[in-house]
Amino acid sequence: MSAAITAMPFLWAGLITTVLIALAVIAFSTICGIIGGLGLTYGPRALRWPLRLYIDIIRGIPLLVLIFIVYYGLPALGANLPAVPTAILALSLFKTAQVIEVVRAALEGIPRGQHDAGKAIGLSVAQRFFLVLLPQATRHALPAWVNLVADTVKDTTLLCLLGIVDLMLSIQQVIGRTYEAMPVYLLGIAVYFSINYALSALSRVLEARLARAY
Amino acid sequence: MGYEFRFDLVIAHWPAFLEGVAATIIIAVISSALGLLIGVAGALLRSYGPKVVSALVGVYVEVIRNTPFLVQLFIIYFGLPAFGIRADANVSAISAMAINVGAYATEIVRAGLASIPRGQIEAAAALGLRPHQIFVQIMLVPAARAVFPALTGQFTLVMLTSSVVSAVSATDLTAAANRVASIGFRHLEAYAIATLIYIGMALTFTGLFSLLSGRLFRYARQG
Repeated sequence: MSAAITAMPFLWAGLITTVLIALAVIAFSTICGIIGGLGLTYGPRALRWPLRLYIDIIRGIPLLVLIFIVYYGLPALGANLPAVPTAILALSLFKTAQVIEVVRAALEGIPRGQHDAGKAIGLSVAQRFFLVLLPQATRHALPAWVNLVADTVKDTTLLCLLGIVDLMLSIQQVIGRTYEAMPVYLLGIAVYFSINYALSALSRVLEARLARAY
Repeated sequence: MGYEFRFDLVIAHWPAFLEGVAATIIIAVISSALGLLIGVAGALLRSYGPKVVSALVGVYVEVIRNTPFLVQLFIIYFGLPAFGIRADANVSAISAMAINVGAYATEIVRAGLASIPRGQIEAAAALGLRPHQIFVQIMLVPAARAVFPALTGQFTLVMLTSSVVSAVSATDLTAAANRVASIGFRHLEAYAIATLIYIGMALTFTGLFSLLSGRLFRYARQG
């Protein structure tokens, strides 16, 4: 047990790495996902097809293999990035596909009449989008998006297999030095659980609140 | 500087990939079957069990769903031996996956059971059906129909998630790709081939399940 306590600062540094990577991935994939979701819903066929293909391919690949492909593929393309940016890129490729689906579902969930009504009262395209569609789509998308954030925190653990010292690898290294596996693992599981449980609770609250807000 | 792809060096090791595919399918099938058993038991206990048991099942589901699979796997493979429980990598991998899938399956099956209107169970009781008849024909089969797409989707996810077990030296398709990659230092080619195989497997199983669903639940669509 004492090993788990003396290792705290080290584990804390790992946690910070985990959180920073997760935040970068979420920021990146949310922006790309919103653009992609708009493209998939309203874009021309020439845009929808490649997006659909991208989403379906990502869906069929294990995240771990995708991480390896990006990790070994980038140098082959002549781009030698350090491990952390590579990891962020790989996770973002994966997460963007999911955000696109969430955004698409949210936009398609808005009744067509809303759009027509906006037109009928003389709103411009921009006004229809920002005042009518966007607020409603956000309501639909928010709970699912929070769940994706929770998934991202879990997904970052795979990065320890690239040698990135996140919370997971810090745990493994502490155990490697102290041979006290269980206390450190339980501490790690408690940390991951707290983050994810808080996020899924938030998702449930948002869902309940947004469902009755109209 | 261009990268020169040498797929021939990797394809020469096709038997390793074939073994990997077989191992991945075996891991996915066994852990999904065990996970489904856990899921049915878990859902029944969660919905109809005594309060304490129901709460415990709830804790199990939340802990598993809110923690990374890699941590669960490491606890079983590296953590349990401290308590004298030792198993080889493949057994640990399948146990970890089954426990993981069980939590998700519990939620899916519970949603299925909840989708059956109470009136239907009461009607069956009024018609004089026996408890086990009610359970199987009025509850389990319609629930299975309701959750079939979710469960089969879960199977595909399990197959893809199983790549993580390569981290504890269990044998699966990703482990095979790791091995082939390190033989000839052709990492990109090895993982590219593994990717194609995974996509192929995911598509194949999705297709099979939608065929199966059409067969199994034909009467539902007419009704």
